[in-house]
Amino acid sequence: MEWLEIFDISLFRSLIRSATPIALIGFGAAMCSASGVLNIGLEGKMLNAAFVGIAASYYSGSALTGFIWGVSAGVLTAILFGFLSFNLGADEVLVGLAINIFSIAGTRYLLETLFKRRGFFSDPSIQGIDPITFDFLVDTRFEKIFSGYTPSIYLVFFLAIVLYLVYYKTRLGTAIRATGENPEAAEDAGINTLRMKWLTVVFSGVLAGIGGTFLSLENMTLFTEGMSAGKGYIGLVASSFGNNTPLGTFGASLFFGLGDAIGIRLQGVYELDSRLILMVPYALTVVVLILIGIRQRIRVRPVPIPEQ
Amino acid sequence: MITKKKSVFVLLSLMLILSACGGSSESTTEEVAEPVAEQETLDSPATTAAAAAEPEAEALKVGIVLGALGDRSFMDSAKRGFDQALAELGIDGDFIEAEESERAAAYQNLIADGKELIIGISFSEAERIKEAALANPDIQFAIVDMVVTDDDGNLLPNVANIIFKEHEGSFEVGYIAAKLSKTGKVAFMGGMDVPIIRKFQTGWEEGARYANPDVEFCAGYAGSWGDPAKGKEIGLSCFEQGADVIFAAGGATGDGAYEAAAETGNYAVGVDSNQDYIQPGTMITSMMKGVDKSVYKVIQDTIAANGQVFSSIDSYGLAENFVGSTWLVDGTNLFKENNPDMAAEIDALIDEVAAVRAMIVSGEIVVTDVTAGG
Repeated sequence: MEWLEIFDISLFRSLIRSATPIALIGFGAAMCSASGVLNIGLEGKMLNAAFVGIAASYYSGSALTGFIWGVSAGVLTAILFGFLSFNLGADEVLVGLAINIFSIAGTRYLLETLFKRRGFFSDPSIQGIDPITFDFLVDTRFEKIFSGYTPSIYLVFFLAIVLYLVYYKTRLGTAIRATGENPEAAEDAGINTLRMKWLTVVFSGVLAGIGGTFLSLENMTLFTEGMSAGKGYIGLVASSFGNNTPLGTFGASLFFGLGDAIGIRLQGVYELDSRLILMVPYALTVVVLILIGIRQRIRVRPVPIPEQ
Repeated sequence: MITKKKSVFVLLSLMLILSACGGSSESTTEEVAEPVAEQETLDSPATTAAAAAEPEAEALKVGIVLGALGDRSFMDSAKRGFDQALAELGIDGDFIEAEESERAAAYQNLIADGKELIIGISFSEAERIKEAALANPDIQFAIVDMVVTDDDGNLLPNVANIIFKEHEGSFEVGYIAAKLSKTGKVAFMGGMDVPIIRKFQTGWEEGARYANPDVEFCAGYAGSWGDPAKGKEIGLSCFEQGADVIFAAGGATGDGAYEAAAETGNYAVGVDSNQDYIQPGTMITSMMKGVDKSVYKVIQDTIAANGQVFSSIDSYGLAENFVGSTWLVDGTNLFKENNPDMAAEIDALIDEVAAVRAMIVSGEIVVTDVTAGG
């Protein structure tokens, strides 16, 4: 396989599929960070949603029921996060960590008690969410680019635009940003900062829920232990990389999706060592973290203390 | 504010590394529900041969260390063999399911528990088995998928080494796949990029080429035994490049590849256990690897050794019917049942495959073993 051959339509589709869960988490993380909440527990919310979604779909035989339950699981975990950190005053980072660790173990435990399975669960009675095909695009050159994705993928594009408008063009967006940038000033201006934080946390729970069901009901119809596989963290990095703005986060997610999609295809080129290539998404993340660090250092230039 | 952010980035990098290093970061230790009713269910021949010979002898204490169960493939197969031995051989046994980082402790627990036979599953256990065996010369050890030697390259006196000729079995399924492929392009998905999986790949490619000299290949490694999402992406990527059969040698990662095949109307070949039921109609066959039979057999051998430690290398291949296509290994053919219109074609192919197998067993066809001589 030649170098250039990997840049084709299937790479694009693979990129979009890989970027979607990262972007969903990233949007949630961006909104939380904008309001001054560091929501590290998104990985766990996503995993819970993936599990509950597939369990509900299994018992009900309906993809929609699975989706609703999955999103509810994401929201409930978000409410737990908010309750522990806002009402009980626990450290946000620690709460997030606890939720992540608890979710890995909790889903594993439930997998075994409910389904008598270990590691893995799939069953013909699980209904997945079907892709959407646009009839008017069939047999046109756009069919392969735009048609046949699952709903969440379209949602991500839609959200990028809507969130951009909310973020910059509405009072709500201003209030959220004010809460994050200067809570005291925001309070003085009559903004209920606690309410803003709750709002963004619950919203991130909804998105993490959609991201989780995307993994277990849309992209695949199965559940494996720890299937979120670090996407929650990569989403968090994407939001930082994108400066906590909707469009920036979206771009960063596509960047990470590209890393993932290219990695798989690069293995066919020049017989490159697969282990080296599989490192790409994680290495990219580290590089990006370094870039963010440098950017912050430049922005916050140390002011020399005047000599006495 | 800045220091807080900094510490968070450090934390983030840490978590990424953690999540990159292993799908599920939990481990469980479990006691197997016994005691198995020992002499009451004496209907299997194995029991009469081994345990009934000395009805008064104390039950052999066996411990086995397993990786994540639930892969429906390699580890589950090992567990199946162990369970069968528990039920039939009148042994006393425990299994420990552990993450790789916790397995060294697991062996120590089994040693402290007075186990007389300790079994490690997978090539990754070589160093741990070697250390434990050198430190405990009175205990019998066994390892699947690896030959353990001391620093001078000699076999250890108390380790039974079990390996498989996966290249032979993969040749067989590769032959079947290339015969059934309509596009003339077949795909391979590997879990980790390690020598033993390369052994599958080489056998598969040689078998396919034997069936169709012009066959083309597509291959990808996921870097994990438990990431079906990546398995699916590899599958889809290869199907989009024109392949129509995928052979997945990668534990639970393979399930993603099977799903990709089912969704796109292509075919897949399972691995290690009989996986034909997973996506009925999509799964042509599975490359069986008799880990279960080998675990059962090494327990039998240890009982027969009567308290003496022994050293051995058992290499199981097509000749022993320990590897190969489900069509021949256990005579099942779900693919045929699900594709009645292809029945005649499949029946003819079964005979062809049997002939190919005979040629491999007789040495007429030599399949490359990439792990040989290294």
